[in-house]
Amino acid sequence: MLIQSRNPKTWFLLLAGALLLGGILAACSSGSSNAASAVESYYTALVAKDEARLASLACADWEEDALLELDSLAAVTVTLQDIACQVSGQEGAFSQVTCRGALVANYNGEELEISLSDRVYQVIEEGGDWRMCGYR
Amino acid sequence: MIDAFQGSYGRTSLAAKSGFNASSVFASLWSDRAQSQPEEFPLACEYRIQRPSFAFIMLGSNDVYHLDAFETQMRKIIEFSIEQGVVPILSTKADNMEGDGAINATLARLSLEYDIPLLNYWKAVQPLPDHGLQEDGVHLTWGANQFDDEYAMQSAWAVRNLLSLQILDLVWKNITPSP
Repeated sequence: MLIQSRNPKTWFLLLAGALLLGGILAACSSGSSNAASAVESYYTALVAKDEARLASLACADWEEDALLELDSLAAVTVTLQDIACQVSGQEGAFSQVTCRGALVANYNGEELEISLSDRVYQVIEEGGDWRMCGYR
Repeated sequence: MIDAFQGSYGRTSLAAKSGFNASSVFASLWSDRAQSQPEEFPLACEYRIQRPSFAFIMLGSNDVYHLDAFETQMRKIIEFSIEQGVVPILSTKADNMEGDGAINATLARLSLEYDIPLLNYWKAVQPLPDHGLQEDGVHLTWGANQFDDEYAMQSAWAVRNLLSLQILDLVWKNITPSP
């Protein structure tokens, strides 16, 4: 059998390499997923008007802006439409995230759509968690 | 005066949208991304593009949900406008959804404190049918801008627009140097 024809040392190196590669992929996947999820969670908390949750999902520098955004929605009902985010790059300590989807604000029956796809979101790991830190 | 402000009457402000309150004009979430710079909030975007001399600030009806934030945000609006070289013209609102007239009282006090014009719209709509309000007690009754039409002038909409022109004329004459 083929397996018996391999040198045990070769098998050890292949196994170690596979484990290392798997570890790297897992780490990348985990980090990316969490940075993107942070933005999705941020908007989920925003439309739920969950102030405590929203503040916990914002980095320290963005917290005041997050609460302003929440306050700005006080007179409308808001829903989240098909949000899906992904990591698109890195800039210093920030992961850059792009999203598709929209916020739909309803005021007295009149709907206004705020696209989430035309911004690049800045996400940073702070206190062990990924947090939304603004957008451009 | 009508001629002097041609171009301002028909355009839709980038800092005015349905459901806006005094916080919304500072939230870049609401900015028109096609016209705004990155991180620019709606009021800054409007002032940069339109470069107005005067700005009517008609807010308050949607601030009953966060009364505690209203004065702080109005101060920010007034101070930002003045910094940008824009004379803010405040207006009381027709409704009293908060029940005790607190928002209009705040607007009157801020007008005095900053020495800026105030259009007392609340007073103007008191003689109108239902005080110029629709059944929901918030939205204005509508009528065409036919200022010589007695019927149209029974609507809060037309009264607001005529009064706005009148106060704009007054303010403009008072701050424009005589030739």
